[in-house]
Order: sequence, then C-alpha cells, then structure tokens
Amino acid sequence: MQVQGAVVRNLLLGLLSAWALSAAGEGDSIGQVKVARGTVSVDRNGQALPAAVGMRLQSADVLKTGADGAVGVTMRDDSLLSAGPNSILALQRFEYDGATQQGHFDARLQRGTLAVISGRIAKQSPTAMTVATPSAVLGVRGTHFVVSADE
Amino acid sequence: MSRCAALGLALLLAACAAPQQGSVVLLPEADGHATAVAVQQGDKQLLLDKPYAAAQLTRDGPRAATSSEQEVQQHYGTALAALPSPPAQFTLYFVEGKDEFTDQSRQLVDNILAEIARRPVSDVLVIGHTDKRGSDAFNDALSLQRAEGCASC
Repeated sequence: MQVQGAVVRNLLLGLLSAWALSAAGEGDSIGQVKVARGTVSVDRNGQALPAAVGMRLQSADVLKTGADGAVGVTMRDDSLLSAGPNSILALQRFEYDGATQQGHFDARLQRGTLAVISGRIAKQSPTAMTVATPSAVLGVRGTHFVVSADE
Repeated sequence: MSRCAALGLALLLAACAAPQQGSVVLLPEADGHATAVAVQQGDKQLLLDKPYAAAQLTRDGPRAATSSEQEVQQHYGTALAALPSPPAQFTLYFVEGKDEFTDQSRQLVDNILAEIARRPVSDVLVIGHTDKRGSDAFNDALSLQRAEGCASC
C-alpha cells in the first residue's frame, strides 16, 4: 500500500476540540499538488521551486504556471483548485481545524484562469472563504465556479 | 452609407472590448445542490446563484451576464482539466470496545485499498472515534488504537 504521509489522529467523539488543536499541525502542510502539467513553479519565501505532483503546500505559497502549464491542488479542507496557463495563484491565508471543520481560506488569482470546487471551510459561513482578483473579491458560498483575471 | 455601417461596427467592437478585468462563472453542481458566489467590486455586489450565471468584471463594477458550457470550456478548459479528483471518504465500524472491524466493514477494506491505488498521489487521513460509553482515558486509547490499526492495513 502506498500511502504518503498517513496522518493518524486521535479524536474522541464528542470531545473534539482539545485533541484537535494539538493534532492540527500536520507539518504545516495546507494542501498538496495533485496535478502538474508543463511549467509550474511555487514561490516560497522568495525562492522559486519547481512544482511536482505530491509536493506539499504551505500558507503564503504562490503557484505560477507558464504558457504550457496547469496545476491542480487539493487543500486540507477538501477544497479543489486548478489554474490554467499563464496564471499566478497565491494561497494567501489558510487556517483549518480538521476536527471542528472551522477555518479561513483566502486565495488570490493575480493573473490567468482558475477553477474552484470549495470544501468544508466555505460550508461554515459565507465569509470564511474568499478568492480575490486584482479587481474583485468573491465571497464563496459554494461550490463550483471559474474565475479569470485579465492583465 | 458604408461609412456609417463601418462606424457602427467600430463602436460595437469598442463596446465588446470595453476594458474587462476578468470574469466569473458559477458552474452547475453534480448533485444539483444550490450554490452561490458573491462578486464584490468596491461597493458594488453581484450574486451569482444559478448555473452559468456570470459576472464580467469592469471598472464600473460587476456586470451580469450568462455564460454557457461551450464558452466555459473555451476559456477555462485547461484549468478545469487540471482539477484533482474529489477526495473519497469511507466509514469503518468496529466491534464495541475493541479495535476489530465488524464483518461488514472488513469487506470494505479492499475497496479502500483499490481507491488508494487508483490515484496518482494519495494522501490518507485516518480519524479514530469511539462511542461515549466508558471512561475518557479508555476511549482515548481505543480511538488511537483503532486509527493506528487502520493506517497499517
């Protein structure tokens, strides 16, 4: 069985919060690259890393695709995001508590095209997840939509 | 006359090419669930709450429009094709007070392993639960034991 990073959580039904907080770290990974086609990189702390399938993402990562590129990621709340060619997608802020399923997710499409299927964070309140472009802010109530940002 | 028509066409083109800053399209849900996206530009808001309801982002705020499957494929096809498969979720049941699967749940294990193998990159999250009977300490230990047992399947 090939399991990458199996995470074992110890949650007692009904008494979730205390344990969940201590288990919420998960190596600070907020999501994972599931699809990478063509040229895709991740800007992290001022460094451009080549993005490969399986790569774990951190808050504030910026995904960039080239003219031949596309990238698909799954976030820890089961949100799915994918960007088309010539896109810049910043995962500005992602906080999620797996036990209470509460959190915040703010992404920003600086340029290009983006498809989104929102996950658990967007289910809790209409302000919990936003996708911004240079000219607009989308309040995500759910679930499946596309957005483009022209330069 | 022809000059007039040319002028009309030029104006029409100018209107189409009005500085658009992007667009948003709400897509239909697989299960027909009602969903919505609120598009905010400055103090102007537009709510998209029907399949293919669209907003054109302009300097004057979001302009309501209607898109189509074909148009979405044309503009967003590459992005949509890169969407990962949605996560699959399974619930396994245990014999009361033990870390053994019920007979029915044991049969599910092969399906889960097949699903993991089918995916190019799998990420598995196991959460152990118990019922509320018994002491917290016992249930705490049991839920961990159950989760660890699953992870080593």
